[in-house]
Amino acid sequence: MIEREFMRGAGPVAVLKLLERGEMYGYEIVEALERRTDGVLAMGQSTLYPMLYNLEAKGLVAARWDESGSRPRKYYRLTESGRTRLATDAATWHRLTTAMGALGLTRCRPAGMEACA
Amino acid sequence: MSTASNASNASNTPNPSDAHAALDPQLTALSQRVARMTRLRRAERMDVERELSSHFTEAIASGRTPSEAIASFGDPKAAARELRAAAIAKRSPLDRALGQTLRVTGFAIAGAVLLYASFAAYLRFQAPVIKVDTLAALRDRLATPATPEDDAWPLYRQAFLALGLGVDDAKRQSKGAEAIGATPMPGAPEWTAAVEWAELPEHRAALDVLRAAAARPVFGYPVAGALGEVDAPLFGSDAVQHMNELIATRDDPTRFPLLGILLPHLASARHAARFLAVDAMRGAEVGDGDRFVADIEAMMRMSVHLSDGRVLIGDLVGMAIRGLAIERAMAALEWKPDLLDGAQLARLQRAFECVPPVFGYLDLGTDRLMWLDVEQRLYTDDGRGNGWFRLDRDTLLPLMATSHGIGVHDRHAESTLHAASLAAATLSGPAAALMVADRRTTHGFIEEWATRMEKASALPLREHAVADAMEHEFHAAIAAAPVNLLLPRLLMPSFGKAATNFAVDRARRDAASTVCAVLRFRADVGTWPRRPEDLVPTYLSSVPLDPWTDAPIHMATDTDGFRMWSTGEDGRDDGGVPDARDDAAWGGPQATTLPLRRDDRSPANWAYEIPRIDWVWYAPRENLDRWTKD
Repeated sequence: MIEREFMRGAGPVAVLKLLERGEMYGYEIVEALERRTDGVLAMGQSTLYPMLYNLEAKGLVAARWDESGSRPRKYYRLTESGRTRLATDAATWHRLTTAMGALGLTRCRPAGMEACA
Repeated sequence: MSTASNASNASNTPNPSDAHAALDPQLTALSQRVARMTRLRRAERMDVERELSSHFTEAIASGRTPSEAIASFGDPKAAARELRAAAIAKRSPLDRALGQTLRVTGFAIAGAVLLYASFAAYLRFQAPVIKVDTLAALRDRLATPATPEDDAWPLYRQAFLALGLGVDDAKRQSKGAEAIGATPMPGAPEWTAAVEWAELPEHRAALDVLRAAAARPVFGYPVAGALGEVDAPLFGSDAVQHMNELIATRDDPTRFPLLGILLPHLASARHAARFLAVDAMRGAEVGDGDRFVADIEAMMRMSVHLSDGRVLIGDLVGMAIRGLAIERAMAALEWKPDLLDGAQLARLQRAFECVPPVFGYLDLGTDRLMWLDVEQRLYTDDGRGNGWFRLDRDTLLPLMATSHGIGVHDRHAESTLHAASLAAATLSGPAAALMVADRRTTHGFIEEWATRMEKASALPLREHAVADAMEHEFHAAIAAAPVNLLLPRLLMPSFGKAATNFAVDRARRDAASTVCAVLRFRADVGTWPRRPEDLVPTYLSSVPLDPWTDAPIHMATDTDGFRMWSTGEDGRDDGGVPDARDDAAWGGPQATTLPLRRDDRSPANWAYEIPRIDWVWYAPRENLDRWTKD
């Protein structure tokens, strides 16, 4: 797990990225974040749900309850604004990690030198 | 978008129980606890709880244990706080603004309530300070008899009781007493019954005692002092006990001893004066000049006694009794110009001149003490002459109760009191303290108007319009701020007309004295005086003046006989012809008697008929017509 302050910056864009492929419910997002980031972006409910609420408040995601299955689930999906924001944030993150790489903080190197490992 | 999603959520989340139907109790409790700690609206809380329950359900289904699920949840308090912030952010801008407004308003109201409560507590612990023993101060204003023979009150009490004026005396209900109460003139329907009643042997003896009482130099009624057992038959044991108790408990701020001291002797004196008025006219009827003079003299002296201590209500009752004495004397002397010899006329003139000059002007010294007494009981005291109005049921209700009983039972002031008391009673302490004028303002208002009214009472009759205008101004000032000026409104209902009443009283006494001088001139010289100057210096010390014009009074003798008159308020000399007042067809000059009391039910509302037309001081016609016309 990474520090809370880092999560504030990385968490939302990570969640938006997960939702890019389709809607997901809360537990599914927690699991996916943990699995796909080797636990680096694992977050407890106490962090995730306020984050989802905030994204919803900003209109970046929308939610719906699904009662059709055996267990009721609240699904979140990306909105158009969410999609736009994701594109912007992804570019920013790319520039950031590249810059960090230039400083030797990450394994990414500036374009033309060396790709991210 | 978020609003739409909220609506969708709300409609889809009727109950979170379905989400944790089979959930571990610890997880259910955690979901509920976090939802509760968010302090969100009910629908929002339910949505949070349902979502957390759904999350735990998924966790258990994927093989986690409840302990692992709880461990991975994080800090519930922080979660609740962040969920709350995020949920509020989800609300619409309008919704958030409304919530913010409500919260600010709530804080403001809570702050105001706190301030109000603190002020209420402050007022509660600011007990009134009784600094001035107003009862003692009032007693200092009373004349003290040097010897028991100077003290009139024991004789008055004896006479009042013998005349059947005791509260429980069955005689009060008799036809005779009723006839006396009408104060009839000779020839009136009640005249015979009234005379028979007055001439009962025990009443004749009582009138002798009454005249002897009036002749004593000091009144001696213990205003604001303890009454004895001997007074109980006259005023009733309850009243005596009540008054003595008020005096004994005068350090209790919730009592109003000075305002509560009833002056029941005033009512007794009024009744007794009616006996004397009937007896005087009976004396005139049978040609008994001594009896007539003694009765009028007793009325005049009794009226002076009632001004002892200068309580306004006492002055007003005294002036009413003087008015009755003068009116009866003038009527009898017109009816029978030869009734009295020179010595009797001189004695009668002295009686009309017996009122000490200072009693001819308003003196609110005692009434100021009464107001001060109420003020020191109703206001806090900051030691610098100011304070907050302090209202609670312990003070307001007794004040209402006692002020309803001011002086002789004055029902006319009640409507004013009632309206004011209603307004005041609906206010609670701090509100009242803020709405009712502070102590300095109230004191200043009362003092200003008391002083102005005292000065106005010294104006001559011809300037009574100034006093009337002042009275209107006073009532308008109070009406404009009925709650702010609550105390003046409660305490000063009766003093408006007082100034004019004093001017009328002085003018009437001057007129009566001048009539005696005219008759003495005639008794000595054998003719009527031709001009006012004829009376000076033998019969009067100065030329009698018309109170309306300040010029010498008008006199004439023609085929109708002698007459003496003032121009009346219009200042126009219409010849002073009497007996034509109501004769519209004749249409000639009109005249009236001395100003008459218009309403004698309540001293607080006594007004005088100010004559616009000629005011005839004296016009002997050997009948009582102009005195018995209404």
